[in-house]
Amino acid sequence: MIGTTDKIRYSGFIFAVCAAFLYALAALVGKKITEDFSSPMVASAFSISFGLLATASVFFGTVNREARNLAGRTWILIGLSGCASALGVSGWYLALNITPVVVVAPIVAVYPLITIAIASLFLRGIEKVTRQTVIGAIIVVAGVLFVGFGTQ
Amino acid sequence: MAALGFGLSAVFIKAAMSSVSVKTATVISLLSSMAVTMIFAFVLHSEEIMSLAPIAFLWFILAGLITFLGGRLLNFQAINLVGASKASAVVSSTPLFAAILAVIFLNETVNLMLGMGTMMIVTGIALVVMQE
Repeated sequence: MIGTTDKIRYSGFIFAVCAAFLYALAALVGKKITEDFSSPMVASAFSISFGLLATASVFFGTVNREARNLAGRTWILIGLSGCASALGVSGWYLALNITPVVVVAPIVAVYPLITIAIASLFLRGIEKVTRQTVIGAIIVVAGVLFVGFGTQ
Repeated sequence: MAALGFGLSAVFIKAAMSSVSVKTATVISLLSSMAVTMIFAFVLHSEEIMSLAPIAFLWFILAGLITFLGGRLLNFQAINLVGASKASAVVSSTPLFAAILAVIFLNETVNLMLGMGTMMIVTGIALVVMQE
């Protein structure tokens, strides 16, 4: 029988798989956009703007109520997360401008290992990084590299 | 910079999650993401932005809904429930789904590398998921 903790955990993994699927679907839409309409950087900036508009509209009540009472530290951490993500996307496109995708893609693909390294350093009290997670992530990254080379 | 940015993003959001809901975190993170990407876009591509076709904005809306109202929200929810390291490992399987979609919709072919990569990704995710 599955306990409540396991249900929460498995829900988290299902959300992660769904997110991966949606990012892949977005890549197909992005391919269409960059082939027919605009550069990736412009597409990214406007997609984020419309994504923000949609997300803020859907969750306006919750966001409006919570944002008023948020601590400064939380604002900074979330703001830094958004900036880091945007720098990731921008860095990806800037790198593609000067370096072939066969060089850029494998380097960027190792980001889960960077997450694990940073999490083990700075999230010690919040989350435990196990050896199995590290080995699993290394195998996933290796698999992603194979898929990347296999679809070129 | 790209790999570090993606890696740091997950860790920062996990550190903030104890005192904020996923919905609010997603909106605030999108605000700061928009500021950064808009600056880069206007500095590097201002002429292109001024000459965008109206139909392009419909595609931007579709991409925004899928990537951010869908993808980022679920990604943050996953980070909140299982942690930044495990969620990142699973979400990084995106190229596998992209390859599957490309085979289905773009008629790309499956080769040995793709097959081996798929097996490795599934094995790696199974290792991350199935632990005490």
